[in-house]
Amino acid sequence: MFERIFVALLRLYPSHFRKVFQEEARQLIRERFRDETGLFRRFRLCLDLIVDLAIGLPAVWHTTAPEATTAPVFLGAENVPYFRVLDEERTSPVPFLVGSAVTLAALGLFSFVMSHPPRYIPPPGAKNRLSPIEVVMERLNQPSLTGAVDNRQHEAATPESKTDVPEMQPSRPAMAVAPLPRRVPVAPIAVAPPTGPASHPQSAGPGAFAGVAIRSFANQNFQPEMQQEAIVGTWQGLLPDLRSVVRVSVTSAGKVTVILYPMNQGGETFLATFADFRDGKLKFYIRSIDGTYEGKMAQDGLSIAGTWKEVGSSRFLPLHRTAR
Amino acid sequence: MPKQKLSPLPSAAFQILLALADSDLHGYAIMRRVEEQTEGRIRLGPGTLYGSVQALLEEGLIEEVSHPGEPQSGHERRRYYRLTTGGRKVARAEAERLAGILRVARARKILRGDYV
Repeated sequence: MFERIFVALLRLYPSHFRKVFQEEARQLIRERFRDETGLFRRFRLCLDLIVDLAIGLPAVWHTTAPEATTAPVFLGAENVPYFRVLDEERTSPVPFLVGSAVTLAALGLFSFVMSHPPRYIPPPGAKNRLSPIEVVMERLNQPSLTGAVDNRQHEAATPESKTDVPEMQPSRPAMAVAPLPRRVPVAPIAVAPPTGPASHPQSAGPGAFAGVAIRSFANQNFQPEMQQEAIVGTWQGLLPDLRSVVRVSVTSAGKVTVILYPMNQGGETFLATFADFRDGKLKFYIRSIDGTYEGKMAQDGLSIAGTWKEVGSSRFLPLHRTAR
Repeated sequence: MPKQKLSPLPSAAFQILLALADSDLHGYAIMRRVEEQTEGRIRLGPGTLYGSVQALLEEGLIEEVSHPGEPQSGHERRRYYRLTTGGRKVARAEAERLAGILRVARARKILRGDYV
């Protein structure tokens, strides 16, 4: 088999070289395969021929390039570009067919890779470290800077009503939060690990997961509707390919807002064009990425069965309540 | 501009000239002779061997000869090559150049008398 391969590779040499030496080269390869038997000698022979191909082939093409010795082909007028015929052989259609097939295969492979991006694979030894998506989730769970300041003021005024809100690191403004119209206590959001086999990151493969955190602000003057009270809490869901975190919040005016934090967009965020929760159904739409989420909350209020729809694709995305 | 194919003389081409110094050989025999005279360090493949042979033919350092024992036609006909007078001069000049380098190496005590 190897003999046939190396004989076939002689076709890579220039045609005028093959005209003179192809038969001899073919015979040389056959005689070497005939004489050099045994595992070691056969392996050494194949290595020799590969090295010879790598070194000898460019050298032959470089040193035996044909000279343009034929008369130039004039096109019937002076000062008109002309060309010389370098090879008397007619070009075979095989190179064109092979080139076309290779080009089509490369384009097909490129299209397939572009339409199926590889999943996020954590680096080795990162088992106990936070993944990028978990880092974002951790930042999302920290109270906002405005809320923390207001909270400290509230604690100073009423020490007996001390809450468990951790202090915000001023050097780490997690996200832009619009100033609240009133001083409000901020409930800490603790994102628990996903529970259940369907939402466990390892069970979903090495891909990153996206979580949905729904956070509310308890305002003493805020009169939320029953529907929005039902969704107050923290929710998480798996979305293996999105690598994004969606944060949903309910403002004091009762308006639902959604911000998408993609992991691979260099910190760029997307504000939902539309977000709503009513009749037990959560729905939001992000125009810039043409993504829509629609889900219905279960009777026990612990899960939301929904679907994330992006351009041309639709994925089932269940959300699970992790904290109230 | 014509290409300077054999300036300086490549090692493979020099070994081929040495192999043809005392007898006419075909390609496979040249390859075996070179392997023998270099103690297995150089095993010429078809690309290197016939690329060098073509360059040596074009420079007139070797010539193709017919061998009386070989058929004159057909696929199995082998080409035999012979060292020309010019090729012998070039081989001698290259050998003297290498001998000069060897003398310098000995004078600098890089090589001892064990070699050559």
